[in-house]
Amino acid sequence: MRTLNLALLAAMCACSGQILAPISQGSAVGEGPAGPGDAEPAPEVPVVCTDVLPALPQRVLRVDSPAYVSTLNQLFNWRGQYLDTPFAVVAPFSRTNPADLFTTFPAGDSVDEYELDELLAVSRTVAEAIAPGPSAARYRMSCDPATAACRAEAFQNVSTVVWSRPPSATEAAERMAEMDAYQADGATPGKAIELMLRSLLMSPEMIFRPELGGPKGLSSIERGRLLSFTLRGTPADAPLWELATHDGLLDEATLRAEVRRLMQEPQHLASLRRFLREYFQWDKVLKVRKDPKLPYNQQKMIDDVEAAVERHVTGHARAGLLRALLTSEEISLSEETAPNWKVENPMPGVIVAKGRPGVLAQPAWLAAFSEPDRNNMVRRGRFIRERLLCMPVPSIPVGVIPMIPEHAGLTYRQTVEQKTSGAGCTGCHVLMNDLGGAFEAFNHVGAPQSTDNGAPVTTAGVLNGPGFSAVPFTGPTELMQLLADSPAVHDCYVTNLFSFYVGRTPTREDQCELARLKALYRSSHEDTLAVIEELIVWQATTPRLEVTP
Amino acid sequence: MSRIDESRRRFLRAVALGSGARVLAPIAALLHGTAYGAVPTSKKVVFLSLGAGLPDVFLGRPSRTSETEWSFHPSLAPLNPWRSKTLIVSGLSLAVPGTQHSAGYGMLSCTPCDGGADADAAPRAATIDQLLGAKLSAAGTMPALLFGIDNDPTRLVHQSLFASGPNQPVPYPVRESVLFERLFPGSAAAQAGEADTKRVMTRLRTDVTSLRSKLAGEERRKLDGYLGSLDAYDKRRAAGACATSAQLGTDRGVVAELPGMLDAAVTALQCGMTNVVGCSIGGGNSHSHFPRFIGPHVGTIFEEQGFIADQGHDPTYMASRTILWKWLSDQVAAFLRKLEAPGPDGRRLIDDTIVVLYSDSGPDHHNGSSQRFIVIGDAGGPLRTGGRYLEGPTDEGWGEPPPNGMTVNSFLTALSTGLGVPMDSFGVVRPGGTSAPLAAML
Repeated sequence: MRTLNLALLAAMCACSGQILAPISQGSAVGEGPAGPGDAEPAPEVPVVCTDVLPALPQRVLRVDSPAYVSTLNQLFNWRGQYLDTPFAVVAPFSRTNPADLFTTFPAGDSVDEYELDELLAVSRTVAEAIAPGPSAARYRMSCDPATAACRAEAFQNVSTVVWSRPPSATEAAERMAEMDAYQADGATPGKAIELMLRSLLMSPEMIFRPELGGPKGLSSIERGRLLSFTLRGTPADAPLWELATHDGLLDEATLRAEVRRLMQEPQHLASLRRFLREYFQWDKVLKVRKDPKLPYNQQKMIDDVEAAVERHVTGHARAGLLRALLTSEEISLSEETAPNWKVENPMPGVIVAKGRPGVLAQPAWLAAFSEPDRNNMVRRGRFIRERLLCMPVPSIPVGVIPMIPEHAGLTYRQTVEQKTSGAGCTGCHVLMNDLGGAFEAFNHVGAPQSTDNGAPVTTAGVLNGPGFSAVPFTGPTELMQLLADSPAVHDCYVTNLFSFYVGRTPTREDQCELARLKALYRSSHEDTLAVIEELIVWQATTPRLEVTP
Repeated sequence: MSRIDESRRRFLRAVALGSGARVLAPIAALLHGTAYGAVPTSKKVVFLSLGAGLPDVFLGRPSRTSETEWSFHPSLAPLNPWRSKTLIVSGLSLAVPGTQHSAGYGMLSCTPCDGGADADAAPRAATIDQLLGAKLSAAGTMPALLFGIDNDPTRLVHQSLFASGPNQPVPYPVRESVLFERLFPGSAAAQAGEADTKRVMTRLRTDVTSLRSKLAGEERRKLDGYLGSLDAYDKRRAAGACATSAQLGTDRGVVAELPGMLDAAVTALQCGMTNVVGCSIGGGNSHSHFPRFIGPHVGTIFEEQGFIADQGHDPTYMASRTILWKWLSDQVAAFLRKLEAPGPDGRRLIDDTIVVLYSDSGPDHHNGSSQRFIVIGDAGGPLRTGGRYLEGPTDEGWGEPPPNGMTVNSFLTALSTGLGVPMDSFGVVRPGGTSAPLAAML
């Protein structure tokens, strides 16, 4: 039995100058901290961990856009005709809430009116495309819709894909009777099938993936869905389907083997790439506009960072992935991005760029955290504090206008420091300024800079926080190394993995599992895939609380 | 269904409409007398917002001795016919950091959002349109009809400006076709498939209800939300029958689509679908498509200028915005004329409507201080328009807004009071500010 003294402190301090503790697991990590005074500090509450896992609540997970689209693609695959874009309509659920930490968080959402409109349009288009009819069409089923066999086949095959399970005989009989009723009501046989298909493509079991489970955790079918959608974002492949539909995943050893099989080629692990993109947010560069005269090919900059990340995932997913992402000076560049890198003798392929430590020193990330015409060291610092250290930074107080006017002879950093040195500002800015200031080694399109506004830039600072007490650093390379060596940063990384793969921030009830995952991460020499495997197995095998509706 | 509603619908179905118009103007006049009769005293409000700033020089300053001696800048001249029904309120303080595009949901919520200058940041409070909609549109099909335009071809729906609560942005279409589908699912174009859709919906309801019965708490509420969307669709379809001959315009592109969208809003008001309208023209950072955003810029020196930045009253910048606001005020004037179309009983929509014109980017763009609004119409009182110009004690203060007695909050609470929804306070104010209704407006 272990007791964790969790600092369930308020995520929002009054910014009186103290260094905040890490964001409590019970608070919404990165969900946008509330303003000063929004919450009173809560007392520390011990969480007692035993070997018995606490049950999880039953839930349904609202599908996200990639999962919905991949299911449709699977539908076309089943007919042997792969389509990347099977319909010229908006993919449902492509909107995300900016307050969500990760795009997996819509698992907690419902279906709003716009999403319903999108579902109606997609289901109509797809059903019309595949339902058997009098005229042949590329994707149309070829059987005679007037026959019972054709209707049964249509239901069987489509429901199997969209529900990720075989339908029951009762369900089949019900839908057959329904199609009969449509026909009796005047619909043609083909139209009756089309209407049945439309309802399947909007059915709650397709839109809300059920995780109802029982005392022994999720059912084999539910485990199959969990594995396929969480790890690959698609319905199950043939081997997984075979196991899932024959209770094969109820055995934990088999379950683990299947998780590992799906993660066998880490470079193909779509979910991990997606997690890293959302964790570091380099693609925000697409939202920052700059003077067209500047070297600023946003997509090529993204290509650079993703090439580097891909190499790290391939080489380090089993050991030290985060460390590599924070410190590696191996980069890729293209002709278009060479002016951003400004390295000597730029050559295609992988090169080492001294003084460019990891993702945060990539032009894409630097520009993503910049203004149209200058750096934004406060936002860069806030990212490190909140995302890498899981420590909250209160929102800008009401009434403060964050204008940074240029002063002759002063660098941007000096101006910011001058502007934020007052008693009302420094309490929060001490959390951000030095961290972001380290990246003043680069300008707002990611190119190295030694002077700014005519004065030499400074990149030195001190790091405070859990495990750090005014530890000095001279620039980005030392800062990133300090962070890469910090247990707090690695713990925060595991917390973020939890949030992404579970689709929500950890609650107080999750603390023991989270502590177990962090310990596993440390003992496994920073094995990211081991943590993901445990997250999947934990979700699959933990008993579900029966609810009383 | 009430007796009045039933007769209204029967009347609407009986109306023979010509074809060719988008949401036909004649239908507006024909529907007015009967459809409007269902809710004869409901006040309406329309928020029209243009990104990229509304400079003070466009409003025409009053003399020191008279609040009625002022004249619009030529770019706003199309609004002159409604001058006597106009109230300009300027110099309003807003407790929202000034660098946020669309004031980060703050213009209509008076609450700073989280995320700094990120236009996609999440709201931290409900906006006034949603609060008013809950009261004024209770009998309609939606609290507020929201839409906008954006030149970005990848965006069909925006979510900025409007929110139903903390972290709950309300999406709105930025394409005429999406707005049309949302408003008129029962219109002629969709009629053919209505019976089919009804069958699908019936099946869906059964399935959703079945899964819902196995769940509790938050999980059950997800299914409730799905059922709620199905219900809302049915209501929209029924209300959309009011415009069975509505046709989607054939012109594409933002400039061509906005008039059709404003026409659709008029029809929605006449059909009783809602009493609150919000329109975002270039909001949520899409102002950065200016000047290419606005057709009248094509072929001028501004077309290749790139996006509008913080250039204040720079002559080039002002000239560019003059084109924007001339274009916008033409659209607003056309919209007002449609609201003025008398019904058979002689009553006109404009008599019950307040139109609020402003820029969600502040006076010059990126300004958190000295906000201004143009109000047209009083919805029958107690709002005092009369061609008045109210100016706060401070008008500039770029980047350093001092507190003053007049706030956007107090403007909105006075507006709300004018709409028959009394509100004592709203949003967050700076020290020294107040959100109590601005007495001079009432």
